Amino acid sequence: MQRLLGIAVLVSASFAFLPPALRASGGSSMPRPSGTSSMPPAPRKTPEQEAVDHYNAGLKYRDKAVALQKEAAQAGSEKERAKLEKKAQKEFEKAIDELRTATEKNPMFYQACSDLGFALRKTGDYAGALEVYDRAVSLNPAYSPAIEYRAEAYLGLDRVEEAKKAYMALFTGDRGRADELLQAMKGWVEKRRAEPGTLAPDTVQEFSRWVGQREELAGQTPSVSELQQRKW
Amino acid sequence: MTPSAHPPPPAYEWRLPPGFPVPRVPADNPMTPAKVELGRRLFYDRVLSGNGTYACSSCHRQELAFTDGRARAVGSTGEPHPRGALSLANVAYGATLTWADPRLARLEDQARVPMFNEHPVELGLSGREDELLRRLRADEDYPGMFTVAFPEDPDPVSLENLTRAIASFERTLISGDSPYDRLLYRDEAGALSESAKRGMRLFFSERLNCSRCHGGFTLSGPVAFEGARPIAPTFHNTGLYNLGGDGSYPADNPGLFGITGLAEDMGRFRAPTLRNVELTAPYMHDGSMRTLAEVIEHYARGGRVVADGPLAGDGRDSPRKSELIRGFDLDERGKADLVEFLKSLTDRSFVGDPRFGDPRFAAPHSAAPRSGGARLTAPRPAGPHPARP
Repeated sequence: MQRLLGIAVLVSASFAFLPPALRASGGSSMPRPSGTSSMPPAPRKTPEQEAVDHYNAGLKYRDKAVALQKEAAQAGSEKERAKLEKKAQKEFEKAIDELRTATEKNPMFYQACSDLGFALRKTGDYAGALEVYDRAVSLNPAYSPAIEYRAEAYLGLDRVEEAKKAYMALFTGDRGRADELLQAMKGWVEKRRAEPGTLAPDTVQEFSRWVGQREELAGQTPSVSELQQRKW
Repeated sequence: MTPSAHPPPPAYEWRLPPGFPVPRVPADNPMTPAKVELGRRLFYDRVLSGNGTYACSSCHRQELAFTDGRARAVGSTGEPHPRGALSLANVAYGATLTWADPRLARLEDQARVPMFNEHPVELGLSGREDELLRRLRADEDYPGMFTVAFPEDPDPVSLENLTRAIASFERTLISGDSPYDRLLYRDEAGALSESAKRGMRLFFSERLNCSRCHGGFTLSGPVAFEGARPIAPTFHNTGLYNLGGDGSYPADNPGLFGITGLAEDMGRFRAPTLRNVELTAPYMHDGSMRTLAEVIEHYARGGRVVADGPLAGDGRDSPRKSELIRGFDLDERGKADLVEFLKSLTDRSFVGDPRFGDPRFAAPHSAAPRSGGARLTAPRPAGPHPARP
């Protein structure tokens, strides 16, 4: 238990030091690609530089939306909550516009694809989110934020087997992200127990059992990155 | 800058199991397939002993996870080593490499120890360095293999390159395909028996604390790998001996104390990997425990009691014992479960992998098997373990 708590503290502590953008989805503001002269007149921006500008603008909208959603969760009344949620959705839509433009300006911009997926998922467009997550992962198969958030999109679509595969990929490559996904999986189990929809109860039960097993294994075994800092 | 006359050799392709990071490789000895193959050949060749009777593989046998099945290793002249041969499984990740010497952290340096050690004699090559090089240069294959492995070196058949090649081969000895790995990294829920799963819970529990010393993906002490920050090596006194009541260990095996001279280091040894532990009996640094059940009993008691004789003493009361060795209550079923878990760490594919085996038998494309005997200047005794001269 102490180790589990330790992992939780480590994960939350490391997240606390990240900028809001990173905490939200893994993306962080990008410095513009170099190549501009410091002497006037300023040269015309390349599409890559324009993409970075749109990306950074998108992250600002997204961070604002995430903050509004947090505020909504703590709202004193249903009316206030709905109002804040509506505002958040508008900010997410602005983020989507900016991030989509970033991916169009620079089709290789996997971070922008991943963060676009995040914003789309938050507006309930899981299919659209999956499409851009797929693109992000195909551009950089090791980009764990996209793997993790794609898995959350799978959960949103009740595609639990694909979410499990993503977890295993993260478990060996990025344990922090794997832990994050496991929490999302636990949330999915709770939600589906309350609202099973068209899912068979056995499916939820089986997945819940799997999540429990993996949580126990994760608690027992430290990750490689943890070992680097471990006091023996 | 003058362009190199030799194209860079192809990079070695790691085939790492899931969950295993890229091993750290010294900048002056990058991995290449040619070097690995040369190292493998040398590892199995008895040309590497003074009297032509021993190879590295004599004490590091693949079928025993690269240990030798003996309590204490025996050198090429029959002289016993004070400690047992450590497994080479995942040796590429070891932050330190021997039972109790924190100074040896590079496989290239460690390889010289058994070759040139005189107390005890292991491979017995001290003073016979030139003879060894003559043997290698006179061989029909080695000069070419050294040239391919070290294309930039005008005189490639050297001791330095020899140890580089052996170290390169040793780095490839990666074991990560046990039932435990299949459960943990490949999500094969049925890979472990229910008993082994119960044993796993015990192993990683705060109560037994086994994983505190045998931790991480190697189930050993501190590891080193590409991108990892250095971790201080650790050594532990497990209360195996308590001679005279002051925590002393037998004089030929004082542990880290033998290097540092610090009283607090008496009896402190490295925690070896538990991967393949089923195959690496007998146990502890001096092979003084024959079975895993004995080892578990030792830790359950919180130290060993030697009732009489020259090693008499109650290890439970040793003032030098690690605070981690506190003892624990465990019923017979729990002990059996723990043994089952330890057996689930056996990687059968590792001990049978032809890439790690003797190239004389494993390489189908090679010419007639090499005996190595014709090249030796010393007669080879009939048995594998010669009597002490």
